[in-house]
Amino acid sequence: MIERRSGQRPKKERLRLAEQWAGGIFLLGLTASLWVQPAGTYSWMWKGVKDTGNQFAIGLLDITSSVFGEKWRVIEGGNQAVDLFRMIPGDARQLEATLSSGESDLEFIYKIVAEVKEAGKPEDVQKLEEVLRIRIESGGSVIYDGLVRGLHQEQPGLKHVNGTEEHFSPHQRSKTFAITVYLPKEGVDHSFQALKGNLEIRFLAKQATLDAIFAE
Amino acid sequence: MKWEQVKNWPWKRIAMGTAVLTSIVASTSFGTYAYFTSQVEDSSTFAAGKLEISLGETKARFQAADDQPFLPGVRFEKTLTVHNQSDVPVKYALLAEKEGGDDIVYDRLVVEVRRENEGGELLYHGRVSQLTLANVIIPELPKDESDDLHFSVYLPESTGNEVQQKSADVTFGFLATQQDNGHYFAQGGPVMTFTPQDLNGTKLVETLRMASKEAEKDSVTGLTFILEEGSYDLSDMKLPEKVTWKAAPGKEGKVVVRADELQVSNAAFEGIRFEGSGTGLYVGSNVSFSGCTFDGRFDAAIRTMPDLSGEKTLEGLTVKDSTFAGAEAAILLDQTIKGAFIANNSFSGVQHAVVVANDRETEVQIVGNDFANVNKYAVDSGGVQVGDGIEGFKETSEENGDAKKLALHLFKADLYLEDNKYD
Repeated sequence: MIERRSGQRPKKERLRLAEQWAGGIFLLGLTASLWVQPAGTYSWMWKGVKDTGNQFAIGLLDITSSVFGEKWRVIEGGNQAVDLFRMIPGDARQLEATLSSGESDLEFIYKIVAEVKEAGKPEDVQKLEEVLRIRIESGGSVIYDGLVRGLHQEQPGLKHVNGTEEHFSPHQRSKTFAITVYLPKEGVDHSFQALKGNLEIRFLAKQATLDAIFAE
Repeated sequence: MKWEQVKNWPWKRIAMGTAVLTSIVASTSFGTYAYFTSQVEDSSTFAAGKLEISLGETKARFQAADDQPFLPGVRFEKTLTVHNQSDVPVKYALLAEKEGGDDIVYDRLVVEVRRENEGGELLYHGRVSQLTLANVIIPELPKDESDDLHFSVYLPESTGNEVQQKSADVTFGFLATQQDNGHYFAQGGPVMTFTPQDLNGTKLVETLRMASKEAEKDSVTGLTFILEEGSYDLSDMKLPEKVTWKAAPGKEGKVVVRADELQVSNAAFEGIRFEGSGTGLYVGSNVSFSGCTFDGRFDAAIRTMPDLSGEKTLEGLTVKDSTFAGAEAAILLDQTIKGAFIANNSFSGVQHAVVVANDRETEVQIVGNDFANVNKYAVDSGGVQVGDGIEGFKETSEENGDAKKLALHLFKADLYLEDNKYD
């Protein structure tokens, strides 16, 4: 048996100490690196040039100051000025709407979408949309005249044009539309009686670039 | 010694002797030149060479081709010319820094830098904010030559109304140095190299602790950790912020990081290979992966970090030039995140590549990826799926357009896809 000389540490302990020592050195080096910038970073010849003052500023597109008239006006038919539910074939009601560019400083493209929303029975919506028509006029010309469902918002991903799309410059400030909703005199039989629905009409706007999409 | 003794010295003899000695020394000295002489001179002048670059530009400011305003998807362009007026060839780094304005714009800005030659070699396509790391080095610009670099800056098409009426002022620049300078000559902060042994046990804990402490200082722009080849187990750890983790040059893909539920925010990874299972990395805001590999039985290789308050919106995830294999979902965005940029990645054998599964508006730009070997959907968001053979949601090109595009405004996400490969 070989006896260990007095004062000599076992190999395992020596290794542990060596490891601790190396760890200490490592952390010392790490501290030094973090404390001061490494000398090598800029120690060679170098030269920098800069192109300054490149501003990328984004404008504003905001049509939230657009307004829809508060009351529908009776154009044809009975005297129900407010209650759209009581329309009969041949009746027409009109609403004035104003698209406003508000504080916008960007040109944009707008479109008008419309949809009958549920106001009681879900099945009423689809049936009402089979006959309910809408005519949109502005500046003396008719922009759209057809079924309300032709102005539905479409599924995302599909490029859809409903004919109401138009370019709008903020210099124009505002544009007024006469929106007439009517039931045709023909093709609306007794099965359409007492159908209820809420008509939702919206302006959508998008930035005037080729690939932009409406939020639909 | 006393003055009386000195006074009695023989001063006359001393003076005479000194005069004789002086004349001997002087005559010896003159004698050196009495013979024929000749000499050659080696005059070594150590004059430092000149390292000088200068900048030229095509126009005073960035602008769109048809002078459109700066909107999401509109490219603002400018060509910058770097002249090498040095005595030697140089290499240089592309740099950008925020001069002023709003972070919400600056953090979202993307720049494409190409050489303005016939091939239009792509040098960089990614966030402007990542160019502060000087990670794009042009290895040679010969003496007396120039590089024309075309910069195209844009906000991704998926960017929403939150940037309206905001702006960012950006400085683009070039930092040139001698070609024999090291790889990291333009780094803004300390650069440290680690081996697997260095990042292990107590040393790992201590290193991360010190780096976290360092990152808290406002003056610190960033640390760079260079990892040598080998395996590093960082599972269940929360990594310090403002650190770029880079594979050592030539070791890209050979630096393996074991990542099971690794939490990262404000950090960048370049050339790292991530392996693990379950959720790989939980990402907070401003995390960037470039040239990385994700390989393993991940349920989600990259997943947005849960926000217990439910109010925080994450932003600025960049995943580019990376490869994903074998995950259930490669990138799972189940928290609201703005400004996610997923470009030029390859997905192979994953069930779904990008899954948007949060209930608020998320903005994701998905460009130039290869989804051909995705098992199910390239993109899945609340029932809207994009991929091969799915009707309705396909990238299409305009009549005169050359790139296929698809923009989706969904309840849960604004997605913009362009030039991806599905089959």
